[in-house]
Parts: sequence; structure tokens; C-alpha cells
Amino acid sequence: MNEIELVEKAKLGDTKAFEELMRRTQDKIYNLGIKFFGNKEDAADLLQETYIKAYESLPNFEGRSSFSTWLYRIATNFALMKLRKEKMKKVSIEELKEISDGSKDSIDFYDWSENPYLHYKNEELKEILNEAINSLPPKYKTIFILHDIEGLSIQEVAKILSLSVPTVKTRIHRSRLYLREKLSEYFKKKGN
Amino acid sequence: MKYISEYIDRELEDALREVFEEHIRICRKCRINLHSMEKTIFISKFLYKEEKIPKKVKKKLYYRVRMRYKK
Repeated sequence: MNEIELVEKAKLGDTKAFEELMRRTQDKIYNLGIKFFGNKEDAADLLQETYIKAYESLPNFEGRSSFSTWLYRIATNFALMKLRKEKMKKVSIEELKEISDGSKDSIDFYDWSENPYLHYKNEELKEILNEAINSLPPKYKTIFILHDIEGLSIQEVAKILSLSVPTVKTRIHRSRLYLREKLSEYFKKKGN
Repeated sequence: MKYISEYIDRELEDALREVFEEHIRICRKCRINLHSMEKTIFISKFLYKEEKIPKKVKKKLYYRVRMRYKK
């Protein structure tokens, strides 16, 4: 049975259909939680809150997006609220603006794209990047994860977050600039 | 510079894309910018391993959702 049929059945009160939708999507939602929060406990919370909210809101689901996109929306809104509450941001938006404005040349023509430390198995590098992603303000972090890590299109991200496409583009760009700056610092320390 | 992300995301129109590619070929600064940006995104994709949902978590999830059926 396809997703649309399952959603229709679930809306009519077929709990088995709803659980089938859960089974098909739960791994993605749980892993999205791990990316947002960096730990299994909060990911488990996100998983539960997402499906409870989805079940309660199912009568209002009009099918304008796919069920999965709708779930992403619920999950991301939950994550945004939690991240903001916990004030996980270590970098102010002003700092991001400074980077994005190009008021300082963030990479100083430093070419690290061929640096031998640049390897996806370099755990130190991954740790630096992970820390940098976690220090992004929530509204940047969620967009970066949805687009650059989860692979959702800009248009999908805009829909999920109820933002305009230009806003999503700007935030993706700023996030990338910030993260790249953090990697540049790392490579500068390591030398070429 | 401002087109780098749009170029990576394939959001540039064909004509602009061609101009951008021509510029990248001759401008070292922008070439470094582009490559380092691409590598940043590339490494980001390897940060997370796919995790399985622990049995306990799954059990609790279905229990909590099923409690809603009764309401």
C-alpha cells in the first residue's frame, strides 16, 4: 500500500495504517533527532513527540506535501523549540553576520582543499566540524542539517520551515561560511 | 563570491553558471573558496553514522502512541 492510501486509512481511524506509516519513517526521524541534538536521549524524545503530534494533527493533514515532509516539519519545529530553550547557541547571530558580510576575509586565500589532513576518516577534523555545527544558532543549524546533511532541497526546507527560498539560501550560505572558517582555522594550525 | 552556494546547489541559471565557471577558471581566490566550501559540505556528510532505534525506545514510542488511540 502506498503512503497516500495509508494516510487516508489512518485519517479514518485505522491505527494499523498509522503504525505502518510509523514503521516506514521512524528510523529517519530518530536519526534526524541525533543530528539535531547529538545524543540518543533527546533523539528518543523527538521521536515520540513527533508521532504523538502527528497522530493528533492527522485530521488537519491535507496532503499538500508528502507525509514524510510533514513529519520533518513537526520534528524540526520540536527541535527548534528545544534547541532554543536550551540556548545551545554559542555563537551570536551577529558573529555569523560578520562572517557572511565578508567584512573579514574568512579564508585568507588559504587553500586547504588538498591538505593531507582533509579526510573523512580524520576523527579530529570531524570533531571540530561537529562542534562547529553544534555551535550554530538553531535556525542555522536546522537548515544546514536538513539541506547539506539530509539532502533535502532548498524548496523542501523552505516548505518545512515556512520560510522563503531566499531566506533558506542565505542561511545555508552563512552556515557554510561559518563552518568553513572553523575548518580553515584547524588546517592553519596543522599547516600544509 | 556570493554565487558560490547557489552554484553548489545548482540553483544558478545556465547563463550565469557558465559565467561563474569561466570566472572560477581564472580566479584563484574564488576557486579556493569554492573548493573549500565543497569539501566542508563533503566532510559534513560523514559525521553521522546511521543509528538503530533502541528496542526500549521503540516500545515506549508505540505504547505512548497507542495510549492516544484510546482518548
